[in-house]
Amino acid sequence: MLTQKMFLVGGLALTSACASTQPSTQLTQARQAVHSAEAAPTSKNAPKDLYAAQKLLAQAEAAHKDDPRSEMELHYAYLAHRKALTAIAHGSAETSRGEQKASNEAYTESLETRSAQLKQQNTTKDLQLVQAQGKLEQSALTAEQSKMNLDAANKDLNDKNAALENEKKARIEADAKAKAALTSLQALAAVKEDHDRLVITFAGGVLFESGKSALLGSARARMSPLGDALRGYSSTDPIMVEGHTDDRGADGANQQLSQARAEAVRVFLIESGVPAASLVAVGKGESQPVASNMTAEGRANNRRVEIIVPHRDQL
Amino acid sequence: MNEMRPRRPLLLSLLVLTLPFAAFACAGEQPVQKETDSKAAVRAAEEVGAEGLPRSALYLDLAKQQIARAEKLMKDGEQKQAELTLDRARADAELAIALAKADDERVVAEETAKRLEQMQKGI
Repeated sequence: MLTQKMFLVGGLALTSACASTQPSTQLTQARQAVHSAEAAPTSKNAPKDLYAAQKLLAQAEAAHKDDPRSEMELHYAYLAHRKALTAIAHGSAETSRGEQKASNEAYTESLETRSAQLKQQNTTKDLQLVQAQGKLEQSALTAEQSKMNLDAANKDLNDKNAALENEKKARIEADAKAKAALTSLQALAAVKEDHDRLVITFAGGVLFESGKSALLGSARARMSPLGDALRGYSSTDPIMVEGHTDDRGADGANQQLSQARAEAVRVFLIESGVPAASLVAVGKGESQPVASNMTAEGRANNRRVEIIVPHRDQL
Repeated sequence: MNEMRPRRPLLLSLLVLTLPFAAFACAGEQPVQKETDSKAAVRAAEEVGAEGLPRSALYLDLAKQQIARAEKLMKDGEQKQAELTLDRARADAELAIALAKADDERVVAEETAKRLEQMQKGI
């Protein structure tokens, strides 16, 4: 019985001793907080706070050792707990600042990249703009050149039209003149149209004295309209001036007389302004009669000078 | 012939007389300084917006309560208790500041990261 009482008293004393050496709740919390701060990767950013927390915890531990659950144990444990949490918070803030710095640097880098891209785009656009402007200017130049060419073509066309108009007018005038000349000639000589050719026949008696080759004064007046009509003749085919006689007299003499008469008419026409190169005088003698030499009238018709114009439109 | 009075005993007497007063003045100054420091920490916590955040608001409130308790202790002449209480008040206020700043830095970091993400999406 006594033994049992001794065990009971001893047990109670042991329990009381253990309870008195156990750390306070504040100390336990402080230990946990300091351990958390030490373990937190961010705490390396707040070394001073962490060191202060560890120092305060050591003071709390020392106070606990000296006097468990004393006021100073509780006090230092309280401060150690707060300092550990402060270390964690400061470390976290520092980490956030580091993240901000990294983000800002990345942002600046991205901004520079974007800026470089925009600059490149702007350079490309500027180049395209310059090229477009160049093309535009070239187009404008081409358009201007085309306009100038068109103006020149129009002017040329107008000039040509005017020239054509003038030519037409001149042609009409020439036609009128030729028609007038032809009409005049028809009044003075026999005029025969043979396809393109025009054959004007002057009777020999009208132009020359019998047996002579000098033109009569009246003949010059009579042939004057012919000279006017042939003055503008320009074809390479020459105008033939043919002299013809009747069969009276010797052939040779008739040949010479017809040649001389044809030549006399040629000379008169040259004097009237007809180009010499356009006139050929030919004596045909009695070889090409147009009527019978048996009668006086026939012989009169055979004595003639024919002026053959190859292209009547040249009149 | 007048006898000269020794000067050293007089100075010693003055020192002996004033020392207790000086010691009392220094002893009384420390809680006052700690009170000032604690109140300054509380004001700093309020300035960084600790009242608007749940965790920092909790420690700010604790700091204020401890300052009030310390003032009562000082009034009751419990200087040592008052000093300890003011130390705890300052630790609470500083924790409130640290939490508020950490929260603020976290928000700014998130915004910066978001801005970066938007920029990188735009490129």
